[in-house]
Amino acid sequence: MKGFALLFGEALADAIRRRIVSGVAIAALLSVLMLDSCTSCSPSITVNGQPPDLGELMGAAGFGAFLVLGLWVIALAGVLAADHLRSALEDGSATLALARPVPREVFALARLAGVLGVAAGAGGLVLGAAALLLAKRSHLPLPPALLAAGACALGALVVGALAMAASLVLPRVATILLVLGGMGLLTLANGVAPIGEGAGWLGVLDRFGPPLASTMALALEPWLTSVTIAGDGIRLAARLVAWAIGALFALAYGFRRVELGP
Amino acid sequence: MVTLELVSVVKRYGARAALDGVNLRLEPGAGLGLLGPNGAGKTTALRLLLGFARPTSGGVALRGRDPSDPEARRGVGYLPERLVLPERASVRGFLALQAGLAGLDGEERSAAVATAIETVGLAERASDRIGALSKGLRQRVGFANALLGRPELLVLDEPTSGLDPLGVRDARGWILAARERGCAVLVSSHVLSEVERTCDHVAILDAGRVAAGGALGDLVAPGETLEDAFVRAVRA
Repeated sequence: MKGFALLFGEALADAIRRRIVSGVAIAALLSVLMLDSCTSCSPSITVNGQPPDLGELMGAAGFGAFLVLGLWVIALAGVLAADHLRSALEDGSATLALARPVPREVFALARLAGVLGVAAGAGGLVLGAAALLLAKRSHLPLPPALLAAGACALGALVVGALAMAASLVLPRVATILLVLGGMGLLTLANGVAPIGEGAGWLGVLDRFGPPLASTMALALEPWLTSVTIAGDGIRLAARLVAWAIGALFALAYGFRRVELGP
Repeated sequence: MVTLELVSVVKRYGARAALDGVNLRLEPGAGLGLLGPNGAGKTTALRLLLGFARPTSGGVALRGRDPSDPEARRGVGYLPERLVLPERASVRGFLALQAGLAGLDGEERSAAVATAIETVGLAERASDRIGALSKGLRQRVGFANALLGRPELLVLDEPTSGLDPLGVRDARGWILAARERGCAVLVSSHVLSEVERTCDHVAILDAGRVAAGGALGDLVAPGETLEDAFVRAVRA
């Protein structure tokens, strides 16, 4: 455990120093500013000459915004993980730590934790600000946001661990494309499944893939007043946890098999 | 217990055999120099010994254990040929991290770091960022890392790389001091004179095989230098 804590500190510092992180910080701040602007506006909309139910509108807007931001945080974890372990292997910095009595899986999990630390920082800022602004200005309840943030954290763990495991055999660009492409397909599958009743390969993805968007959407459902999202929250959460455990095992197993440079 | 042992080790990368039936053995407290031309398999042998890679066939033991077992690496100090140090960390901070990973705690850890820094002559630069150090001083940091906590085995890959003549002499002193207190030393090097001064046994690798090996006194004929013995072995 002490070895993990030491390596986690190192991995987090490495992750924070990466060039992409300054871009992430700017994007996170812009997102917060955009949310601040959007939640402070007073729309004057009429439908068939009648003003719509603003609560419904705010709920739908909050649902969409929170979901998109949650997916952004998950993608961020995947992109950062795509070379956080690989770079330590390529530049040889991993060998000094692994020449010590440090189990391989401890090293890999510490690198993953470093990535998740950065994603948690960005996610905490963006999702936290979104939840508070939506609660204060749009009167949306907080518990759905907390549940969705938990699902987002678990999703980030799944995607980060799978990306890190994939990076052991794929080049960096291919891993990033796999992360973004895979997430796009999964989100599409989660989105169209209720309409298409889960037919075809998208249906298979929706039923068996990591439920990244659907768990967050189900958690945020209380914000929607006129739409019901079908799904068993417990089963979806259990599937996401199973994927998280599987992803961690894949990373640990994959890293044990890797041969290191001198 | 034998400190390290390779028994009939074969390591293949595709069709190419980097090591082909290699036997090596290092007793506690002994010094073994691993020599050979470029591509002879020296670095591959070190990778197998430290558990960084697995042999295609044959047996490898480090302190009586499979090198992939983290406990086998407890008490092992390693200086790689391609030394990559964290640029932003201070010398003391880096060594404290490594000492923690080596399993040292509390005062024992602080004392080990202080001793290692003192040993390699970096006391005045201990708070400096590693990125601000010259190549020679970084090599000293690498040595300090390898010497942390009085290891039972030192594995040194081209240990004098980047050191000036004074540094080379210092490095020889650190290796000999470690041996005097019973530490086994495995040195992979192209600098034959340094191996001759720090080791009592030599294995000359050529094309993945042990071309010659044994005690220095047996390997080098009267009137010969180690260089003569080396050339004779690799050209045979």
